Amino acid sequence: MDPQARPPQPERDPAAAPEPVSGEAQTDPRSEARSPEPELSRRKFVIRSMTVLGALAAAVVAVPAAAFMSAPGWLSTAPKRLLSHTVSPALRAQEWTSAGPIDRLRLGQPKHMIIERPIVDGWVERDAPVGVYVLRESDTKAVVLDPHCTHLGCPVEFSTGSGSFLCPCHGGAFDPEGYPSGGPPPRRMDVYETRVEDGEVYFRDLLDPEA
Amino acid sequence: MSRIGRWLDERLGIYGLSRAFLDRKVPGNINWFHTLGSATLILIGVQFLTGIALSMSYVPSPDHAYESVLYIDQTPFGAITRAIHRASAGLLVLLVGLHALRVFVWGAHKYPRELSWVVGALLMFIVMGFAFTGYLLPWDQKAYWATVVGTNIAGSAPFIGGSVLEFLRGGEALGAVGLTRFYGIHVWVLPAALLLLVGAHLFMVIRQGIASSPRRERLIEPEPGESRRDEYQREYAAEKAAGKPFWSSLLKDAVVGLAVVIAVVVIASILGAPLEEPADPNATAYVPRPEWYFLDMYQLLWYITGPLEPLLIFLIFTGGAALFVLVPFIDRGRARHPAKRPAAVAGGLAVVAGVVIFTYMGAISGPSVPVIPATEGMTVTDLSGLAVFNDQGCAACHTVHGLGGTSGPDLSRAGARWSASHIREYIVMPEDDEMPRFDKLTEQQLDDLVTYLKGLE
Repeated sequence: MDPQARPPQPERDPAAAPEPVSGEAQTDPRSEARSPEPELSRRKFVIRSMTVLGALAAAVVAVPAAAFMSAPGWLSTAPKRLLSHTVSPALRAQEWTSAGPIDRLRLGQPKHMIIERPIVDGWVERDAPVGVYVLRESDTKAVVLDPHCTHLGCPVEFSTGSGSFLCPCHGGAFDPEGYPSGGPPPRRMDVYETRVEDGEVYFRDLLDPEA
Repeated sequence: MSRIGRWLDERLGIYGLSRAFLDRKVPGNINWFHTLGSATLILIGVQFLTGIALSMSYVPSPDHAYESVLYIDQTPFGAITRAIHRASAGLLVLLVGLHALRVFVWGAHKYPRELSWVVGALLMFIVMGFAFTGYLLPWDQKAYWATVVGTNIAGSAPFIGGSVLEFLRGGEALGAVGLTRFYGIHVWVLPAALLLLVGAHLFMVIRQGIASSPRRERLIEPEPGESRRDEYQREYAAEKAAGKPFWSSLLKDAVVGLAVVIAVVVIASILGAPLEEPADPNATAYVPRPEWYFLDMYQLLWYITGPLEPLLIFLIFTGGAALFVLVPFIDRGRARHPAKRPAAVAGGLAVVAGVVIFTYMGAISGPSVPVIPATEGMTVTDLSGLAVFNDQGCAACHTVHGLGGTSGPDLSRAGARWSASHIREYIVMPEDDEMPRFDKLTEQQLDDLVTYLKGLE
């Protein structure tokens, strides 16, 4: 904190220059008894060894800690990014879930439903409500849509007048089947694996949009 | 010196140290603008203090986060502590930006202080990181959806996006794991990084001395052929010779610091710390809306569309960040006075103007779909048409009389600009890809809507 020492002026201070081989040795009081070279390399050796050992010690702890912390980033089993998967924890639900009888749905008009499904959210396993849109395409065919914009994941709502899903964030629009009809969405809304059996609609996992 | 002071000095020898620190000469033209840095530091202190207090009652779990925040709000002084934390966060973002702007305009990022700028730029990113991660913790609708959108933007980056997204969320979904991760990042990773870098930043300021305000007429003219180092050292020595002791400028810092803290408390008392409904991943009608300091980036997304969108966003964000960090290696001429580096200052002001304009546009248009009010003299048909207009969310993209979105054309004078048949055709079968087809409207709805729009003049 000596005010005279600022600003640093290394060129006026040869002793502080990096690796001053002879100068360094001369400042060492023991250098008169021994030759300067071995003394210097011993100093270097100790400092470098300490650095290496310290780095090793740090790595021993840091590697598992960093690996654990970043595990979710590289553990992914699904290679394709499913944007809406990221929004809805429902993707791990493995069972077929009923979305009710198909004849309660109007042709061509998606119906919003909130259905209880088993979910796994980290260490939490429970039944949780999951929002979907169910579209009746015919008497034997239905499609269950994940109600999130494929642009950035904002919630979309079906507007009956325009017959479109509209996203409030950046003006994205989808037709009743979930295909993009305007704005920034790059692809169809995510779709669940769906089947109709005995007049009842069932859905299971979200389908990979790339498949 | 007091008895306690003598006792301590005898053992630790700190008297000389503190005298050297306080009495060292600094350039004479240190002024009020130089208090932005210390005000930033004071707000960081406010955040630490209030953050530690809040952490005493907060639970980072989807089951309890919202309720624990409610509990904080109901505990005496809890609501104001949370409000101060929030107001101070916003002001901190603002002050860090102003501090960086001051340094840039002053040319204080130049030799030999390039590293101070680089560390300062990293500190700004850390502050933004605090803002982004702190956002999620109350686990209300705004917290949840802003984070869904924010992490999805990061997740849309080419190649690394997916991993980044899963690293942030701790999985594909935003849930229990993501919340604890954000909490861990917010209260451990970022504070540790912040302390380290603030330490480095302050060390550099003390070690190198405070940069003088740039002078139009320099104290010392460079000699022909003089190296940059010699020139700088002669000039800075002259600045210090004509300077004043460091302690003499501290009162300004104290005044500004107190003013900033009072401002925080006043803003906190007025605005409070709103809490929306609990996070609901199944909401369909919720309109995510970012905090004001992210509005500029959010607004930017309106203009970048198409298949290259993820790549462009990635390039703009990372490119912008890299450019910001590398400012001292780009704007590196010897001149420091803003009048002598018009290109650099113009570039800097263009960035500031862009941020201000995008923030403003984001604030007024925003993502929420405004409801266009009826005006006097409207017929019944006009009113039905207006109802259709509002029901369909047309104002998300179109402005009518100053209200509405900006991604589609302004319809305030639609009737004067287009014929009724053209309007009608365009609604049902738009010529561009951006506008959805509104081909499911009934004839009656369509007639009313066209009548309404035709009446806008």
